[in-house]
Amino acid sequence: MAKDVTTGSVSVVIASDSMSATMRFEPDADGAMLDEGVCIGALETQSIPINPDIQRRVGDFLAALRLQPATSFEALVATGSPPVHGIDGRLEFEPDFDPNETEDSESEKKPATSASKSADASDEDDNEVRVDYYSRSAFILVHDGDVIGKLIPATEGEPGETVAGKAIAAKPGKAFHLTADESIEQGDGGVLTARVDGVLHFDGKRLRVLTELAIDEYVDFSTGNIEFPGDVLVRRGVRDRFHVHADGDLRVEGLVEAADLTADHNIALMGGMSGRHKGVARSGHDLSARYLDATHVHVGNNLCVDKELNDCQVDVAGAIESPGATIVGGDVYACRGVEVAVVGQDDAHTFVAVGQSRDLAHVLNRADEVLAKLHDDFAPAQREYDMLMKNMAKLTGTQAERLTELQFIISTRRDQISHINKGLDDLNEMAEEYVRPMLVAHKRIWAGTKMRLGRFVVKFKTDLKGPLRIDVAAGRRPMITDLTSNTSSDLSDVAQVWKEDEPEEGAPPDSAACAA
Amino acid sequence: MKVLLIDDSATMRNIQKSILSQIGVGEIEEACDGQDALSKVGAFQPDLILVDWNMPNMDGITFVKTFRKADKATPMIMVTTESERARVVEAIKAGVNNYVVKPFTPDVLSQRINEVFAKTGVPS
Repeated sequence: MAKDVTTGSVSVVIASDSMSATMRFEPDADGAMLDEGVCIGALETQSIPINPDIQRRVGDFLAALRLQPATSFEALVATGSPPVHGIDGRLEFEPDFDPNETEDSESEKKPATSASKSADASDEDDNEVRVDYYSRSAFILVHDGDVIGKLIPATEGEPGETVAGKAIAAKPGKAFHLTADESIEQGDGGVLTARVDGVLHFDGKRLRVLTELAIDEYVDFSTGNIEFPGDVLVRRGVRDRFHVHADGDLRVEGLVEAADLTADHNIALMGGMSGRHKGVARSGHDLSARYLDATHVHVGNNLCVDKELNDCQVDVAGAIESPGATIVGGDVYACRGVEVAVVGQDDAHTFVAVGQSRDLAHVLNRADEVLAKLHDDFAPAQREYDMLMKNMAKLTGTQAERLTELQFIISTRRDQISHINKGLDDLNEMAEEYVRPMLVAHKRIWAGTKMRLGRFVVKFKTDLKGPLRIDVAAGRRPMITDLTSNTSSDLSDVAQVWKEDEPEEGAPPDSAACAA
Repeated sequence: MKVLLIDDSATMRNIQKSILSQIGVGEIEEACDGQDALSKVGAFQPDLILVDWNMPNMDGITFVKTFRKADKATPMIMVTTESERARVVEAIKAGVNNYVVKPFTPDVLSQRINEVFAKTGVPS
């Protein structure tokens, strides 16, 4: 309730919050007797300290009053100052690492075209921004050394005062208590820096960098593609066309569809993969799977499949160690041997090459192409050189210089060719020592299955019952061993066998079998 | 080691540069004729000069004679198509230490350089 005091012809009304004082002129007072002294006196009786601003306002009040002396009039003549409360402490993230930001990690704009109405109808959506939803990532990846944000301390605030000069205390801001582990460094000035590569995790109080990424559901549009500098665990599956790359291990507990999986270390597909001839699984080391169906598979070390390798394109640098699995259809290459239960099936083209790597064969083919090109490149130079050498005694100065140039070109090319040949020889030697052209089938090899065993091609005309082993020693013919009786015989006794550079009996060599 | 190459043919200079790089020469300066070489040789202070004979502005022989007036020590090898005995003698009288006739193989040039250094005692 306002405080109301009447002194002479003016009164001072103080607001209920004590933050303002209004001077009021009473219409039945003798206005002509009013002066500044009376007004100031009225304020002082309310304990309002007088300052130049109040004096100015009183002067304004009186001046205004003299313009309308017969009407009641009031004006604000004094105010208090409210307190400025302190600001709470907080964590401010750098824009790239703010978990509250939602942004596209990749976007694509169509090029602007003419604004003319006569342009093609297809130009109508010129300003559309295309977003690649596969590349939107729900995770914030950080690297060692990234500055993630800064801790801003709380402020004390500034006190205020009432119109009567009484102090009003300010409420200080609350400190922000951040919990961070050793993956985050708190430096000078509250700067927060990541100390490892991983995904940033902040739950409002605790900030850390996780070096293993665990995805509780699917890798799909809710997560976007995954590129993670550590281990990745996917508890459900991976949807079509999504890409998961882990610098460490990758484990997927559900089904993988026609996705692209890459891991620098091991891959484990607990629910199998159905690639529909588009999916790819690429491991730097071992790969294990419940089954693989219509998938392109590249394995840096060993492959282990529980159930089936069905209609896949497979290249394994190590061995296929799957004693309970079936290889049906597709083309399967393994450098260091294959151990499975069953190979092939009726009406299924199944090709297995042991002691071979298609990736390595590709490198060797490429090297051969480069060598051929080098030879082709300097053949004209060689011809010109030979021609000039025949006329050595009659060379002009220009021809003599040209001959020097040609000698240099030929010499350089020969060095390059020699260097490449040496590298290829070394590679072939390493491959010869590394490979193991051997296949073990614990149950059966079906008729119609084709094999490549070192330099030999094999075609099975009848079913063979296991357990058996097929292998070939250096310089020898392929052998088949019955693992029950441990007796061996020439493989050509039970299958068609021919060398890679020979035609199949009565037919041209199979193109896949003669590859590399 | 620092080598100054003097030849009006950029191709020839490139070939000699490659050969010199292969034998471990670190610093190589190029000049396109005798005049250009005279303007560079003072500042560059080469340990060896390879010079062609037939060049515009100032030919190799004139360069050799001019250079030898001020510097009797820096080894020079003439690399040229001029193969007649009289020409070789003229070049040696002018002051070159050795002579390579084009066409030459990389081995021949390397060998001549090593011979020059063996005789003059400059480390290669």
